[in-house]
Amino acid sequence: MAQEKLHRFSIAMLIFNTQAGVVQFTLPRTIATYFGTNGWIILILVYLIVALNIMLINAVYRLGKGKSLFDILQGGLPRFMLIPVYLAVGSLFALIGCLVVKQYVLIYQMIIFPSTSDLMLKIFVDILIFLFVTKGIYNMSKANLLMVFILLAIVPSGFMMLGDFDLLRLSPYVFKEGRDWLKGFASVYAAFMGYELSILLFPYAEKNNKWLKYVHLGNSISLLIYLFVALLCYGFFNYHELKYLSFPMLDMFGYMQFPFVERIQNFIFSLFLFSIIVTSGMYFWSSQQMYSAVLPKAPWKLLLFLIMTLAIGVSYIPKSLIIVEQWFDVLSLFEIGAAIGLPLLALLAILIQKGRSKRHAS
Amino acid sequence: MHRRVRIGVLVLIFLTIATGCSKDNNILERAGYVRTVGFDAEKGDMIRVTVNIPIIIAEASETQQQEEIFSKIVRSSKEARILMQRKTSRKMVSGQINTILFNEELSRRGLWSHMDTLLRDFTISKRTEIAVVEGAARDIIETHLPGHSRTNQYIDRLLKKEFENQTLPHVLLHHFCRDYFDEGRDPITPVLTRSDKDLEVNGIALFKKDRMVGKLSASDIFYFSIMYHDQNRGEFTLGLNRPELYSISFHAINNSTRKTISKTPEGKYRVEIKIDIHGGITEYIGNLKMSTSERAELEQILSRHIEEECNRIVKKMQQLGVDSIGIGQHIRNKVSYKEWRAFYKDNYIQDMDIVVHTSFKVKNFGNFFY
Repeated sequence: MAQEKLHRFSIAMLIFNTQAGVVQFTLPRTIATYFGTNGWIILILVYLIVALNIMLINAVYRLGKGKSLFDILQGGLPRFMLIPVYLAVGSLFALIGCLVVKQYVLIYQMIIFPSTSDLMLKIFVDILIFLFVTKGIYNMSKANLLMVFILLAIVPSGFMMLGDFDLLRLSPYVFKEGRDWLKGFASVYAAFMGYELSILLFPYAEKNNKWLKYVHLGNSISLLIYLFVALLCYGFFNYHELKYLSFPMLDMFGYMQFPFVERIQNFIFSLFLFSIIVTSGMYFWSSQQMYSAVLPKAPWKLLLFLIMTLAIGVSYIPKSLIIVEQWFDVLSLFEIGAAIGLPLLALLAILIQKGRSKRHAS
Repeated sequence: MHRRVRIGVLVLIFLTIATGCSKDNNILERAGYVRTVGFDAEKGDMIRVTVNIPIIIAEASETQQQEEIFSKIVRSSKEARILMQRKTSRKMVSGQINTILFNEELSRRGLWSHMDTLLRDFTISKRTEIAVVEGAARDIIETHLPGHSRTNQYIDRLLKKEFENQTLPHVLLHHFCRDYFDEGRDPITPVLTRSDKDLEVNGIALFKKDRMVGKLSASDIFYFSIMYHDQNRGEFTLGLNRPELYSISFHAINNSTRKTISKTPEGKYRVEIKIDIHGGITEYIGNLKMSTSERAELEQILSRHIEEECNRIVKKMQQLGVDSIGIGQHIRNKVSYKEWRAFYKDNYIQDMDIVVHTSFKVKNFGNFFY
């Protein structure tokens, strides 16, 4: 049976849902801490840089004529050089995939199950992710559509906050009283992470260049959601208060009230499980792709199982949320490196291959 | 394929049952939902925490409503919780707290250290009402006032109704914290007091950061409210000892307030607060005819009177050095960052010329055409 191709719209949604996740809950605080007044504007700047990065990945697809990343790399570079890269990037993806779950679970534990073991909660989520990823990328993208639909259904509830929103609180100043812009930039950039996985989707996408635009679409939806959340927080609270709120978005949802139910933040946070499954699932899938390139003979589901088991072991090390956030800060720097490094490496491989074939021709 | 489905179903059943093993369960009958918490100042830096937990006891076909009330002198609110936990047969949970009372003395000392737990604890809603009480919060929580529903419910509903009718600025925990952090606005809370067998909303407590520094009386609430925010409901009544206006009452008050900032030649900020008010008359005792052009005369008298009262309240806020109506925020939006930093200091409101202008329009005068 021929492998069905991923629909371009599914790719857009997959990218969006991989990017968005728990980060939305902390993003307004990060922005306020590092960029100060009207820090939400930084999102647009970061978005533009991310868009450039996506163009770089697109260039690899165009120049590589739709071949998979591994084919491109192996076409130009010796395998012994590539294996350490695969292993390093694969491990990085696995670590991110597992820390995403860890962070989610720790917050979940704090607000809903304070005395239940986080390891147990995490294993429950990991089982779901394992089942999700073993269905294969095509089914993952289909399931993701439904999850995105559920997540986007939360967005209109944000408009209920407008009653307590005041433009006056935004203040007319831009980026005043921030600090450590570079660190902040990395944190905000990390919020957009997920788009770099599109480099692994080459062999699964339609064989034309149209789908490349849809990666930008996914990225743009993320931007819109982030902007909406950040702007709302800046006007609903204020920039000074935002710095002191661990999870501004949870606080905001906690304020929301319906005639029949109050305090729906726990419910909404539970819905974000859908986002976590996709984010983490995509990273584990990518990790497995990397490892499979090293061990092409090994059954991929077994590899995935081993990767996830190892990752659970590693995720047992950080015990508190703040440490997980610190790990993320470091990992996201590596991830930014991978997001730019992998396409550059691929371009290098293409150049080498072209040079070689030219020499052959002459 | 069949086997896989069967295994899947088994796993699902296992997971469903396993969720029951969680230690984090709150069984309704075994939980004590704290509804009202009171904080009173005690000697030294100690505080007295008083909580009220309503309990419903169901025996056969009869249900009884009772309350558990605990009071402890402690350093912090969570310490009180742990001490009280030893006295109750139920697991105390804070998820249903709907009113927090601070007594005036404690409020004047400063509330922030007691706010910490309210912000840190995930289960406490930002929609919780907060109020300053004259006297002891403990007295209010402990006493059952005859003729009223249980005290916790009474306070909660009283405040909710006042907020809804906009006869009191809508101030919840969220607003208090928001204004505490923001520059250019100081927090406020309602003031509750016990009057004989009832409770009464008796004014507004003015805070400077977290410290209460003054109070507006109940009759000032209306004038303060129209400067504080735009409202589209609400009522007020006033009486002057003049033949044209002995007593008058309005409902359906609708006001829009604009604050314009300019600079005087001496470099001071001048703030003009312009308030347009509309309202329908529900009662009027005086010698003017509403159905004729004499109505304009009445509107004039009212406008002048409201203006005077508002200016008086502004003067009072200036004396206390509090900016409870957020004038600072308007200035912040007008000036450069450097100017704002130079201007924003303690008691900045005292360096301003603030003038209130009001214009009152009678929207209708009811069913009685006179």
